Amino acid sequence: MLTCRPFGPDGGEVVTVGTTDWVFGLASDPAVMRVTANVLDRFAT
Amino acid sequence: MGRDVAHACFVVRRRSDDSARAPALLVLDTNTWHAYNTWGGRSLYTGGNTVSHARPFGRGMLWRPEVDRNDRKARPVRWGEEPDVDGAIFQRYRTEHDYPAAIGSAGWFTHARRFVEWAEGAGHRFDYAVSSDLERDPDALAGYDTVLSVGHDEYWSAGQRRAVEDHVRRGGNVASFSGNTMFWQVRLDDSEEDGPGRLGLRAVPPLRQGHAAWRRRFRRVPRRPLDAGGRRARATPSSSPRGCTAMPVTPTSPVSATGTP
Repeated sequence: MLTCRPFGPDGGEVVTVGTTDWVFGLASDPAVMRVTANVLDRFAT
Repeated sequence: MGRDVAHACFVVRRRSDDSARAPALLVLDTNTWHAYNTWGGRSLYTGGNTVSHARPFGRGMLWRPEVDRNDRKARPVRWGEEPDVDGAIFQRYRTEHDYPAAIGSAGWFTHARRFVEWAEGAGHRFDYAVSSDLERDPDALAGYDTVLSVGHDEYWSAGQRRAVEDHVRRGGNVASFSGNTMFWQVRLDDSEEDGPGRLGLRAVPPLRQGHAAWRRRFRRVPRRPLDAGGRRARATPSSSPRGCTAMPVTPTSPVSATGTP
């Protein structure tokens, strides 16, 4: 599960994955890695 | 050896006037590490309702010599593999290595370490803070585009939550690669700010996250100081993790920062 929600015209954006085990997919799951990379490229670069 | 060993860590904050600041601040879920930590006393799951920020973490929470896929309760199943029903494989792993149960739920090594190693390998750089910084430093988020949360960011104070909400209202972003997020409310005990800090477990019923009643209750919990016995922080049995009772945690014998794990 992953949700992304903008908070109004002046608000920022919130992405949440809703699982403690998201990070375990970073070693093995191409989809998890792609989604994480997309989020970091947009929010943390 | 074994569980007599504990580890401590340092999280280095970036100065606000440092021009090399990263766009994102990764706020480590240290409230949750403390909540599950059993070293030298009770955790919030083994009879405590306050835990000290000043005690070290149980062996394995911050560092382990081996990286093992069995190091968590919800062990993913590979194709054709039997599921780890009831976490038996995890329990066997941790008892063989004499690790506390907390390693399956919280700490740097199981969750955040995996994220940071992967992200740094992909070229990302973050600044770092700990849970309590969001409440104790009003400017903790100033200048950051994004707040990052990873792993099991379960325990929040009202002030920490407010800081993140204000950040979003100002146009800042949040990326939460965490589950069970903001499930329990805790309160930082500022009366011991210069000594062992404490987390006071407050009565926040385990309603579904995002539920309107959950949001209201999160805001309604009064912010009072703990008394010496922690009694005001007593959680009602129906709202405490696994029915814990009021019992302040009084750790810490002197601990060396060095030594073998």
